[in-house]
Amino acid sequence: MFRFLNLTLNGVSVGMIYAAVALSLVMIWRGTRIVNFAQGGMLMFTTFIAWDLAQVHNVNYWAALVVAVLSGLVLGAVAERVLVRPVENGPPLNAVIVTLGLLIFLQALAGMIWGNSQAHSYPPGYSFIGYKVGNRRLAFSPNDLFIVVAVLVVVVALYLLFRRTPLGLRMRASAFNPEVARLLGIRVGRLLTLGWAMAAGLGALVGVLVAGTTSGYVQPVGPFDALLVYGFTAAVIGGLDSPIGAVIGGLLLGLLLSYADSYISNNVRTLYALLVLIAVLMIRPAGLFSRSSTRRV
Amino acid sequence: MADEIFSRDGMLSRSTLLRHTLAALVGLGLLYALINGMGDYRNSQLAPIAFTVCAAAGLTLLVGQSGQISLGHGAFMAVGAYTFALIQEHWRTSHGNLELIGLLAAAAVGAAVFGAFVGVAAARLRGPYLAGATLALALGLPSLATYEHLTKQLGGNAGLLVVSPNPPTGSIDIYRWQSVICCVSAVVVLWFVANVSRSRVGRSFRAVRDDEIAASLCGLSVARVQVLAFVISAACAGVAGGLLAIIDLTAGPQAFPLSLSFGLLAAVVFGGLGSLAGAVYGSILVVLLPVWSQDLTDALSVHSVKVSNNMPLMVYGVVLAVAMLAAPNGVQGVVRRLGSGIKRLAIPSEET
Amino acid sequence: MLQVEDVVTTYGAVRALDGVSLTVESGTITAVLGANGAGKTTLLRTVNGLVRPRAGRISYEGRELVGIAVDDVVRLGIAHVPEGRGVITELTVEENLRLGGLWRGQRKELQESLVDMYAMFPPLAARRAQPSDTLSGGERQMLAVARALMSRPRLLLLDEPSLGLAPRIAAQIMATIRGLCDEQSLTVVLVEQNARSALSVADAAIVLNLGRVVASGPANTVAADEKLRHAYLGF
Repeated sequence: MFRFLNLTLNGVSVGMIYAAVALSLVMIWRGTRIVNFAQGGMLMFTTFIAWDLAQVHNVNYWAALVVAVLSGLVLGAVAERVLVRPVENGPPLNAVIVTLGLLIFLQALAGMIWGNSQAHSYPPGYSFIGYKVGNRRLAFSPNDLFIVVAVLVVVVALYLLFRRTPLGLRMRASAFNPEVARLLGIRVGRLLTLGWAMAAGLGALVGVLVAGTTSGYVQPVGPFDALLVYGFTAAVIGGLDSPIGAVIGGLLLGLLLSYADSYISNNVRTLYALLVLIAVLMIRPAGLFSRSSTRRV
Repeated sequence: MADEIFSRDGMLSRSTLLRHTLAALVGLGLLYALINGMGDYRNSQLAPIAFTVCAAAGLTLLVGQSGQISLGHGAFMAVGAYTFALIQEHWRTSHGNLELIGLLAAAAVGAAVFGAFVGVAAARLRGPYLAGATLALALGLPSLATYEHLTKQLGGNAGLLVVSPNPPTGSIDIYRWQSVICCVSAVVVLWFVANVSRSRVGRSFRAVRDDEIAASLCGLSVARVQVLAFVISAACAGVAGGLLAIIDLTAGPQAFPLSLSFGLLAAVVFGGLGSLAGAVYGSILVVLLPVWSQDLTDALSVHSVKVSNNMPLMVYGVVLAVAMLAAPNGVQGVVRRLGSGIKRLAIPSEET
Repeated sequence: MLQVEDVVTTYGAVRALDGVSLTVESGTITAVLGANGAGKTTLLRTVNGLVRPRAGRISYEGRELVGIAVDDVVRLGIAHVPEGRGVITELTVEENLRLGGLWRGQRKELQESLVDMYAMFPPLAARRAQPSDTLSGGERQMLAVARALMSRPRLLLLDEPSLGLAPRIAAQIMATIRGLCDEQSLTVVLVEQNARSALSVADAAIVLNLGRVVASGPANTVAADEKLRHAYLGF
């Protein structure tokens, strides 16, 4: 019973991470109908920047985090403007390959700057020793709580932004119908760039949060590839169009993987994610929360 | 007489087969001369190029001709390699060459069966969904080898041992022999894929790629065509996986990282999606890239291991992105455009 | 107010507009008529900058329009209600309306315009918080027009407003447009397939066929020309 509780808590905190990655992917998908396969690479790169500052130059954790998010914003904006804009309206294969190229480039660049062989640890923001309940230790630490709260705050902030502000309205209109939006005087191009910037900034936040967990570490090739797959799976579960779906999908996936890891086998997380993904794509490809059932997969 | 030549099953279509077979024989001859002429080092480079060509040819068929994205072709290679290793463990005969052919065929079949499953699952997916699912496949499948309940059968992280077939005693050394095996396989795979491409099956692939609705209105079962494309391309990758196992002397999860699948895609993109000649150029590029990058970093007097290690990867990434932005039709496309540009200069232009 | 001179617009090898000229007087309704594929929608899209013409000039209140980006055109006072209405169905009625006025940036003005629109189109007020895919065809047309009016334009480009609407509703829309023109001296360019109803409210008309102007002049002159009507307008 206690084990189940621990697994559930673990599932929730991991799930929030997946939810955040899923949310970045959904934001980009809604705006440009592209899946950003470079997301894992982008957040890896920004996390490295933060690590470099925090670990090597002894910069304060919070300052490093802010720098990571800012560099994420810049990276996202540049990626959209330079790489993605030319292929936005073409066949989907071209966009896939371009984002893949960016992913590989970022991995190589990180390797060139910081080296590949070492898995660097990242100092966490809060203690990662679990809370004590009675005389037992929960698999949920102050750092985990921080992760959950941070992601929730961001999700709520994004919700308010999109639903209640003129900027959010413009962004939604640009995503739903770019041509009509332009007729109404909305600067669709700029908003797409902003969308990518925001998604990348969110990804940067996730990267730093993940790196600071007990199983987290920073290395060019490794932990962040799988994160993309988990985020993508979570986004698909919820429906690639639905931000709420992304969050719920993330939580569900986090819980599922947590249980599977413990009750079945703990070496093959990516395999479970693959199986979940296939199951969802076969049973309900549009996801749980997609608004239109006619949306083709 | 004319009927015979120009009818659907007449000499003209048979002559495509003839043409391809002739080209294959010429190719074999040239390669044989090349293998004999080159030293061990070059031959040890030729072998990986050749098996990459096998996988790239299959991927070209899938991506270029049937229009389905696969970011996980490395997974099919893995299935081929493991099939080869598993069957070799349980079946040994004294007829070396026959055994070799049988094992490679088994690798192809194993991968093809897996390809059928994947194809069925993927038949409903398009675009980025398909890409994401195949990416998950590339990451998830190799980890199966480390699944604790299967480590005994699958060899865990270290993988399964593979015995490389020996050359017919005394004729040539092991490197040349491996080159021969790989090159012959590559020629056979190319011949096969070229013929498929020109056949009714190939036409059905392109029909489905270009317009699914129109194709289904013509009576084609879109799902079946797509699955068939996966099966054939998986079989090619399976052969490549078997060859990889022979050269590495193992079939293990470390040999199939994500970068393998990305490298294959880069090879296909660089050559021009849908073009077999392009698959060949692309494979050469992808295999020789680490070597050239090393030479490049040496020439630039950059003494950092970090930079030289990552140079090939960086070039892959740049090639992929730039190729899509500048030349979506790859090298073949550029060549074709140059060709038609020259033609237009020669012929007086008409008003558009 | 709007002067189109010898505009040629091509889609690939097809000449959708083959040297079209048109003058629109301020405060009038000009109907652009003709069969399907005659180039009517292309004309509006060219004026709005959605499509760049191969040749010709378009001047609006003395300014050259060709080359101005689509999202800038509305800032000059030109609003476009596209073919099919362009209502963003994922958004509510009020959100669609707000969108129309957003570029102006003034919250107070936006609120005032919103109040005006609800007064002019009561059915929209009743459904303000509903997702706009719950609206009927006529209501959607109202929404599209109201949204365009939110930007306080001086020139309104309307593309086939009566498309898919029952005749009674279409007539109501036409009457509303006429009313707007009279009361607010709004200039309107009205593309319509339903020539009869368009001619009943228009001041001037031009008829296109295969990308060329085959007739132009005051609306009642065009309407009175029987041969013309039979040949190009279907009645």
